[in-house]
Amino acid sequence: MITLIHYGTGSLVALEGAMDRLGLSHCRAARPDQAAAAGPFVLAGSGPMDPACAQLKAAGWWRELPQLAADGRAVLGINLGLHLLAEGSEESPRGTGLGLIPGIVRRLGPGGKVPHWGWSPVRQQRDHPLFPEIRGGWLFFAHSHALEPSSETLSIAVHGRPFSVMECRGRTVGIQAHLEKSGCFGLGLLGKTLAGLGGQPEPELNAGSN
Amino acid sequence: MDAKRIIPVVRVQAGRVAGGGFESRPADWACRLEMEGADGILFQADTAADPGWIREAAGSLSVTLALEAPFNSWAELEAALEAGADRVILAAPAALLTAAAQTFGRCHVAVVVEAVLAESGWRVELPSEPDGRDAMDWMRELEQRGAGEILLRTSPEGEAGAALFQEAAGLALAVLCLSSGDELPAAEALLHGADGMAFPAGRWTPRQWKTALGARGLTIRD
Repeated sequence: MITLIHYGTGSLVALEGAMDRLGLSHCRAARPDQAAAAGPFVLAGSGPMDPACAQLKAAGWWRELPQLAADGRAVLGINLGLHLLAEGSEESPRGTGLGLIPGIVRRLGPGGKVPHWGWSPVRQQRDHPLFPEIRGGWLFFAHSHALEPSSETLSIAVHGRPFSVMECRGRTVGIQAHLEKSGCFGLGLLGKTLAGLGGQPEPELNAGSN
Repeated sequence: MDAKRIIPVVRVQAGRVAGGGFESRPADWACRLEMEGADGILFQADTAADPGWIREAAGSLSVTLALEAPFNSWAELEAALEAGADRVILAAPAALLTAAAQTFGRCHVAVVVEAVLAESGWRVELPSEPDGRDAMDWMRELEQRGAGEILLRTSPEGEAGAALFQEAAGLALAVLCLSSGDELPAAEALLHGADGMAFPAGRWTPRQWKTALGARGLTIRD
């Protein structure tokens, strides 16, 4: 069961719809004690970083999520979720991130319009056994900040300058693109990524396939 | 380089597609348009009071959903975004703009600008300024106030309108062309710097638009 962290920053409707279309079992959890007993966590969200951090702290996620990751639970951060998993962000210079993914999130530009709201081609930089190739695909982005790419970055896109699209450290994954808004290609990637992190089909679909 | 976004516009009245006949559920229309190659859907609704259909459409789509509606309160704005609208589109004077951009993030708030070519240049009508306002000056103000994108309609379109798109391309935020649905003026706007175009759904499918615009050398998403 995939646990969607519900912390009041951005709507989960589209992501839940995407998981329904993929046949993946999911639930919302406002607090850690509401999380599924097993399966990956999804930390999505959009908007300003400081209120997001405050809400995660108030709900107990800020303390629990690193421990859950250390215990082997998979975590997928999407868009703002990726920024929160990083070590820090220019958007919130006095705060720190969860530190599950190395690197600093920086404001986009110069050379690209900000916010970046559009479809960009994505380039694969490294292969990873758990995740599908995304060579040559278009993904949808909606952001003003992005993680600086490193030699460990799996894939990048360019908006004025290169930025990280996909990171993976152990069972913690961060994706800048809105896969749930990236058409059939994005939906397929979301399904394969969540499957790689242990997302399970809905029970009735499981039963039907036997 | 980003693809030029090709966005069909669907008019919604009382939660149903205007003139949609038997197939009038916005979610159904939006999904069909997505299958036909749309890079996002723009709903122009007569009211934002009932977010039920927005939730249904947002849960069905794999592309973005933008909502242009008369937002009469903060609660309506919040409800539309919570229901899954990726972007709310405000009309002038966009009183809620700055607060919305600060609360939800500027990505999620855009503003429509209706520019008319007058003797003194491109002007926009504003309730607070009976004599109108220079269009570029107004767009710069919207940028400062937190707009994430401008949806620009020019009257006339075509070569004259393209000149305003060229000037607006110098803004730090994206500018989408609100097209009447004629190919040549839309292509002119895109070739002069518009980041995408929105057109009335119906006559051409998004894929037909992409074929036509791609033939003019514009970058589009396959």
